[in-house]
Amino acid sequence: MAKNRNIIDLSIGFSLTQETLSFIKKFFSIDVMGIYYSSALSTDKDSIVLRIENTKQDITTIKQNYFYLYYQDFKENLDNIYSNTDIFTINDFFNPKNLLRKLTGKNIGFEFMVSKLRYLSTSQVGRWFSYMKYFYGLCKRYGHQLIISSGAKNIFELTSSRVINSILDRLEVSSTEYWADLNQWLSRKKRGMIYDSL
Amino acid sequence: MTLSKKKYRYVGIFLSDRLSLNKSTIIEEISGRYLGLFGSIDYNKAHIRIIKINDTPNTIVILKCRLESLTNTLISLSLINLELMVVSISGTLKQLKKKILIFLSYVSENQEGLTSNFRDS
Repeated sequence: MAKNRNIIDLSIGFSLTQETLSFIKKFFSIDVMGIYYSSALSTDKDSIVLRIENTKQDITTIKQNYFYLYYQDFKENLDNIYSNTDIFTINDFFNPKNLLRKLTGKNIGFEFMVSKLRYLSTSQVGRWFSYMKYFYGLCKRYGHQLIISSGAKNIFELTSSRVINSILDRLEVSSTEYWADLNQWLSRKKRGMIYDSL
Repeated sequence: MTLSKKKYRYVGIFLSDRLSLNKSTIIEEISGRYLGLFGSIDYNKAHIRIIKINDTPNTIVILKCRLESLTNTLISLSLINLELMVVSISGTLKQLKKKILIFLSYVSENQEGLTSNFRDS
């Protein structure tokens, strides 16, 4: 893996001390971590992406110091979609084609949590793998980003880069391409960035 | 017909205190998930075994599997609802032990900052 490419887990749902952050970097090979607003914040700002629920956009105190993304849990109702959502967290199977087509050009991240799979039956996990293959194809076609996060609520639910690469391998997605795309997507989401098509 | 040497990988797994008291469930859970997801032909090819080594602490388990089945084994391990984490993967037991020692010494050195996370779960 090229050195300038970060391994990213955008959903870690427990508080991170500086020691835990270093531990995750060292033993899980994860460089950038997405944490929730309520989590204790680490001082290592380059490794942290703050996740803010879209309904709480008025939180400004901590936002100023961190790179942040707006997320919302996806519900199959197009009326509830906020215009500046960066990440939709998908918890259930739904027919994604119309939605992804409708949101073309918004470059949204569609996030799936590996931790949820732990509680699914084997047949549901199998269905998830084939659904993900289809979803990835649609993301590519309509210019969105597929995101695989651990969704860890505790340290034992974390997924290492090796495991995510194994999942990508089963999805027949090139891990090099996935990480390059995710890095590029994340850097584009940095607010205030100036884009130059050249 | 040429016979090529089968390659294996050793996977070091760290268990929560609770799980280390009931290690027998690990192989059952992994086998169940592996069989369900990838089938019995693949499972038997994977040749998954728990390796018993005397000088490893109770919170560490070493799993052995065929190299070609490592991806499936890792997926099965990460999709079971048990408090465990893959610490290291290696082609030799000697290297694996080294990595496990590094892990354990790191955890004990940084115990103060880490224990809350290990306990919270």
